[in-house]
Amino acid sequence: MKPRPFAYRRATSVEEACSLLDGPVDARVIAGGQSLVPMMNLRLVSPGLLVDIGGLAELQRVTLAGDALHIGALVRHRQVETDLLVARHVPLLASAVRHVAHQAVRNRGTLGGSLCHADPAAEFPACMLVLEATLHIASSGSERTVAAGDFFRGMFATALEPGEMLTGVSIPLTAARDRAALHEMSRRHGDLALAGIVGRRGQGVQRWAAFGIEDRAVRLFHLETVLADRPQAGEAEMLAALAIDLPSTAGAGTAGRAKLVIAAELARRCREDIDRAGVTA
Amino acid sequence: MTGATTKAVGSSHRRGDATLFVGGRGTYIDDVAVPGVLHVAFLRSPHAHARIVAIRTAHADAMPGVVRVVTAADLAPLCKGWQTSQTYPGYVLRTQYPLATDRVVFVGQAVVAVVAESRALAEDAVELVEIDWELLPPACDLEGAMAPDAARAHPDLAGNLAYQADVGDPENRALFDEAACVVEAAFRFNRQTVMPMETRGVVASYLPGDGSLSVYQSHTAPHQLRSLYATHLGLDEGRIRVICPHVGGSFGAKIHLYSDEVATVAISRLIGRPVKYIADRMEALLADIHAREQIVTAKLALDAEGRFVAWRAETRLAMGAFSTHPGSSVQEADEAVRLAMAPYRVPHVGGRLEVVFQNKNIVGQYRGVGHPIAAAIGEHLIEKAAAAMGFDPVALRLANYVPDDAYPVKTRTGIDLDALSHQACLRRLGEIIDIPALRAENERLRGEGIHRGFGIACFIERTATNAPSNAHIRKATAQDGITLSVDPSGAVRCAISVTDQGQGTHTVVAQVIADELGVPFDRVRIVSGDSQATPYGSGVRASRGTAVGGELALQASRELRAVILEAAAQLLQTGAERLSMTDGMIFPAGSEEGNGISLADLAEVVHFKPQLLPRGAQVSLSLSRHLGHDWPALVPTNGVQASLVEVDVRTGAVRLLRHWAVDDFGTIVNPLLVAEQVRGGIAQGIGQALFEELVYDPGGQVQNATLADYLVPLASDLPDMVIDHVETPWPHSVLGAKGAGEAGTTGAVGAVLNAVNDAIRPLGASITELPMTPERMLAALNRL
Ligand SMILES: Cc1cc2nc3c(=O)[nH]c(=O)nc-3n(C[C@H](O)[C@H](O)[C@H](O)COP(=O)(O)OP(=O)(O)OC[C@H]3O[C@@H](n4cnc5c(N)ncnc54)[C@H](O)[C@@H]3O)c2cc1C
Repeated sequence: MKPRPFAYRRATSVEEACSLLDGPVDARVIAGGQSLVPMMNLRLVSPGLLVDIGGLAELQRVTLAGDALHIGALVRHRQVETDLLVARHVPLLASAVRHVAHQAVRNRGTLGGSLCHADPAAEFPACMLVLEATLHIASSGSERTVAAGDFFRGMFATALEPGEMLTGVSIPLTAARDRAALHEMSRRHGDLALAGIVGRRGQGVQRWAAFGIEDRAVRLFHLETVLADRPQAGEAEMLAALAIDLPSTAGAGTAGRAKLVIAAELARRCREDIDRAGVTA
Repeated sequence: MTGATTKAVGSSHRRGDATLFVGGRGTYIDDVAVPGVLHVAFLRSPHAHARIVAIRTAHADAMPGVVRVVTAADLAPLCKGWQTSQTYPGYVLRTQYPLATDRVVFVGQAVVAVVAESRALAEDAVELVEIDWELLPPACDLEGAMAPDAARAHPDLAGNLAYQADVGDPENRALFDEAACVVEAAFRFNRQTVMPMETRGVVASYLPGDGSLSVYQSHTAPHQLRSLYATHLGLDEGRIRVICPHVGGSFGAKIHLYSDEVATVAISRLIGRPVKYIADRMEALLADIHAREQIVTAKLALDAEGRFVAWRAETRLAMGAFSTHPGSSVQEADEAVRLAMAPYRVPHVGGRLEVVFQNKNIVGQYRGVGHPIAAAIGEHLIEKAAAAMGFDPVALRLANYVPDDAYPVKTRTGIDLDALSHQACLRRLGEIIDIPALRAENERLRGEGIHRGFGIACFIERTATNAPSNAHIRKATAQDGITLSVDPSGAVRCAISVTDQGQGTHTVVAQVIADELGVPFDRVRIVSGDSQATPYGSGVRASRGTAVGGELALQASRELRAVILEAAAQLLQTGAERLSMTDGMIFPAGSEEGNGISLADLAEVVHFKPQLLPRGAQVSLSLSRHLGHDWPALVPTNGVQASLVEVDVRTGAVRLLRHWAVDDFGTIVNPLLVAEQVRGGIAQGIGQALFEELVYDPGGQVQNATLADYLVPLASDLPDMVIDHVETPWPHSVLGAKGAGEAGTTGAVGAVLNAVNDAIRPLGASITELPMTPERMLAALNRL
């Protein structure tokens, strides 16, 4: 279980990182290494060059910028867990992070790494969907933004193009202050979710997403409509909505059916929490 | 006389080597440094069943850093292959070779070995080896294994059946037809593996010219390995030395001999250089022995008063592509069928076992070997019968036990049992838990929609294999040996054939020696695990460390004590019968301090000033003793466990709230170590009940060969455990200790199974497939 040979460079600026990523060899960013290194050891991925962004202090900050909270890509999970601005403005993230792995992993893993890795069972991508976050992307000589809803493209697949890296996310404060809740089921404490649901309810707004179910974090548009019409919709109705929102799971035999049943229950629990005041309570 | 001394036996001595391990100073197999060592990586089969058409190694051979690429053809002149030593009448066996020859028969089977200057280079070169395969239909379906048109794991055989046997009474349908109540169930125990924290590994060093072979291996039985390597590689056993350094757990994984290990040793012989192979975690998941995969049907008949009338169990074990070596794969199924219901008086007990070949990895002997399944099926049906007939499950057991004072008995399946205490253990359980109150509380909570369940499982373990028990396994269980010596400082050195894999065998042996000799515990030093340094013996398996090693230490210590007292008597000019030794001081009975002599002073005289002893009185302060067949072949133990769980009926999640164990291990030498064994064992039983499953798809591909996907329980998943004991000393040894290593695993599976079923029975649901995953729970609850 050893990786294939690779080169390694530690970037000193975002510009340098981007120009290294832009080179002829197949380059990858390494942030916390918590997902990338195991995949390299299993030889599932074999980048020719690792661009280490671990030294880029400018990506490690949480800042208030106008009507959004900006979180740098290199902010560690542990920092999300303890940061006062996050706790105050985006309590959903502060509570979600406790479901992410264990302390040792949280000490190294980064928010950007979690989003770019795009594990279908990860918590943060689904949170970004319901919070309607904007992702900031840099490449040699240019920058662009992508809405969270357009970023996750499939299992371990995102909208990042070769040569691009994520620098951070902006979360609109209005959304962040809404009542929200996350529930997940995992077989063991700290494992990636077997199924998870995150929901947010604001003034006339329902934003729901599922993780650990389809091949990526998925917005649950039908569930949102159902709950907008009938906030206290029953179990059968929620299950039916989920079956439409999560079509490949609904078609996946008993294993898929079990996920849907669990998802419906988790959604019910989220709604119950939100009714009670959400995680801001 | 000296003041009061603490008796070592019965006290919770901390493990003498704990500081070493916790300080990161242990020498595990990967820490063994041999100058010039090369590294081996294996190309393992990606297919469950395929013919090897061609192997092309040119690219790998040409890679810088690669020393040699080795195929089966290279090793054929060195190793003739082997079959399981433990044979049974009619057991169909297939020969195993270090590397696959013309056909691969399971995913993960070693096919080509690359020897290189580093493990990373060896792995790079493995990717350059090209193999042309011709795929063959894989035999992976257990239920359909015997169908006439089923794919055959070995096409040269007529079918997949490797072994079948009927045990106990023949089936008597009338007993079931006429019984007041019959309960039955079909069980599925899915495949799991062992998962010691340290993976397997070998460092082999063959010295050409000299013809000597040194093997370091993470294993529990160095002498057995020495004999096997001599046989399989055609070497002179006298020139082989096997050392098992510190071993980070075995639980059965390291009592077997694996083809990759033989290949590594053969490669050293082939190239005349030292080589190292360390299994990585994926290799461990694919190629360490697997365990448990059985489908079982069982039924229990009772009369109107709740007396057990008849029992029958039939099992089919998915053995994999070969039988394990040297102990066989049959044991897992055989013990399951023979031992089910052994705690009870049942006039008719019968069963049948079938062991089938499959294109999957080999099933071997994992902690408990069949006993967890025996307990789970029997105890599940007892609780089911209690529910069906309206009996209290505790009372039903008490009414049917073989009474504690009725032993020895032989079961209807031919097993000798002695000195068991089911009644006492269950009564003790009733003292540490208020069972009626607990059940009432569960009932009350049920009204609030909280589904709790309480389940009990009692069980029998067969432990401490002795030479005669395995007479049919060539060179598997030998008599055990010990050498004790007193050095000039008065320290006691012990070299013993039982070994230590972290469970504390050394500590226990030292405690017994300290007590029996009368020396302080910390003056005793133990060596084991080196075939050159200790007498021949069987190492550790089947919970034999304390029962066998402790008894051996006791008997040898008593003899050495007599020698010491005899020598002291010469010096003190008194009779040896008037002397005793305590805390390393030898005194005449009733005498004052100062009239005695310390063991250190005596030893100094013996070693350096023998002229002070009378002429002709040559004193030897070292002796060796052996223990063969002074007692029945296996030492039975018994116990009972209980589990309290809460089932989330909306998600299928099972939460473990509490776990209790009452065991009878006979004399307890070290309560702390016994409790640790029980706790760790329960964790592994919980793993089987709720978490661990190696998933093969119908094509024989393993779906979850990483620790992210194969779930072993973490500390945070485990409940508080209450550990208690009943002590019925083993009457056939002096020490009276029985095996304690596997009971935790054996009882936990059935206890959790019963607790979960107790929680869901009022909903009309029942589950008999393990592990009880959320999906299976939801299916059982009719929610899918
Ligand atoms: C035992 C264990 C349990 C875990 N459990 C969970 C869990 O329950 N929930 C969960 O969500 N996660 C879990 N994880 C994953 C963990 O959260 C990782 O930290 C995270 O997925 C990746 O973050 P990282 O900083 O370590 O990224 P890395 O491993 O360094 O990188 C991951 C991927 O993202 C890319 N990448 C990283 N940063 C950037 C960037 N700024 N721009 C572009 N690409 C980038 C890398 O190139 C790579 O492809 C677990 C991990 C472990 C080891």
